[in-house]
Amino acid sequence: MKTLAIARKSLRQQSRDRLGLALTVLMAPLFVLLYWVLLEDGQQTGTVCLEAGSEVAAAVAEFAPRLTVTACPNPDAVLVVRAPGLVDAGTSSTPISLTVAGDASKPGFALATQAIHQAIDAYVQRSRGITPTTVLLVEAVGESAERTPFDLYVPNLLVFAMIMLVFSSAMVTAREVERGTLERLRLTRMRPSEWLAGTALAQTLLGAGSVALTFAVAMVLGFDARSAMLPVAAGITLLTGVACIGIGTIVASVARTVAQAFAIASFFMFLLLLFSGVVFPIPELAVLETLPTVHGARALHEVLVLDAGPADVLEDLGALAGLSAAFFLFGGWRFSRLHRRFVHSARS
Amino acid sequence: MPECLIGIRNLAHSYGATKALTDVNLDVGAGEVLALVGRNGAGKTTLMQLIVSLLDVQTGQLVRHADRIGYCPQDMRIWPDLTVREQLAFMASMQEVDASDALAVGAALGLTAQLDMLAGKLSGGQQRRLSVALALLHKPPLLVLDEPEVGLDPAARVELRSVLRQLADDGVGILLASHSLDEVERVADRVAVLEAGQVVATGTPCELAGDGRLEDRFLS
Repeated sequence: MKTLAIARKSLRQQSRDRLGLALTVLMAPLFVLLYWVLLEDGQQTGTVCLEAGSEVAAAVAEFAPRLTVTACPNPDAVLVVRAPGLVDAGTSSTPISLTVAGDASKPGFALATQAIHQAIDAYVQRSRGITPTTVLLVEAVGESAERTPFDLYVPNLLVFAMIMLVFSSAMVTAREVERGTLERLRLTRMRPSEWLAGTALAQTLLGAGSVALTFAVAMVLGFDARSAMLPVAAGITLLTGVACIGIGTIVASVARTVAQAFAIASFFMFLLLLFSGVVFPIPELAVLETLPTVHGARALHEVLVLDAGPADVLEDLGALAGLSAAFFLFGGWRFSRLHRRFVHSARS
Repeated sequence: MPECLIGIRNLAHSYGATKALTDVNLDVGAGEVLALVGRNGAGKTTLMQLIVSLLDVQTGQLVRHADRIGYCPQDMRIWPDLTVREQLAFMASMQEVDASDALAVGAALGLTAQLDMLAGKLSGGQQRRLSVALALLHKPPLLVLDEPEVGLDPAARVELRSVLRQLADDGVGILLASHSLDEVERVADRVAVLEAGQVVATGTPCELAGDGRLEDRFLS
């Protein structure tokens, strides 16, 4: 009986925290919906060129129709498909040998590879009635040829470190609101801008420490960074961090309790993690360009992995700077409103 | 007549359709302890929040002759994860006073031995003294305390009363809300009884106790 009473009480409390409840229950379905909206509608596109037999072309045309097939060479192609043909499939135990060549560090490469692999499997299954064994060989070309898979992930992990700032910066303010200490500070005639600047500075230092440590561990473990570009990489990371702190401030200005801040910050963290190409490849979509971490991850990748210079990432840098300023200023504006709200909220 | 620190005339305040204060008239002078008594919901906290500018005045007049006011809300509002020394130094920066002066305030409130302890590890009485110290760093002529004895054991109450009496003797005006008849009788120079947002009686504790009105407020 006590268990039931506790469960009832717990559910009742949860039902009164509507925002927290909604985020707990709806976060995963919402992300399913987001993925569907963004990825279902013919977005898995890319240009590939084939050095393969006609059956491979037929397989791609039938089972990966969203890929654009061209003749080789084509500078716009994300990869070249080399397959000797599928004639042996189903007639002998010889596995299908499929080679894809391209810049393996690009998200489009991974997505196109997966699409072609699946198309050939589906084609053989339908035409021969067997499930083929396919040996996939990846030939990394260009700068990516010199890179290990580990190298390709390190820039993403630096962005991951910045995304964590969403959480910590939201918590800093939410804790002060819940404890009432922000009200004590307000009585000192502290301006909202002073609080924002102080917490942002602390969070930036925290982020810088986290990034430095992440980078150092990566270097010790063999990451080959282009040292000449490290200041540029540091600037990109800093801008990404500022944007994440701005998002955290927005979260703190919406949440009324630490628990709410936790739930809302988690939503934004997952959003940034799942849709920035940090965890797994995401196609280049216009709507995702509004996420600062997309630009941060892409620019860091270019600079740290592909040896690009500032001029090569100017577009991403500009977008990142603009988005960072926008998120930070919006967070500041929201916080100023919170500052006024809690001052005027009745607590008689 | 002591120097007037706060002058309140015809003050009224509402939360939407709910009237919290109606036609309140009150003065607080330097060096006096004025106790606000009344049931829960009588309007004590609203009046205090108006005085310290946490609420805006809607109707009436509230003249602050004191240029600085210290405020101790009912909950401590301290940082449990900072030491006493760190909190004093931080609030000194926020109030733009010297850190050494802040430490002196801490010492005056008997916190010297606890300077390097985390506030979360302090006893209830020590936490309350820290809360009072944080409100006093900028040397306010008026200190406003909302039910300062809540959660304190008898020894801590005696300590706190002695601190408040000393502050009043040093010229600080004190306005405190209280549910403790004992506290009011021992500390307050004057008492204002609030009922449903109105001041229904004022006088010394003796005057109000004499006609039974003070005890009635606590028993009702």
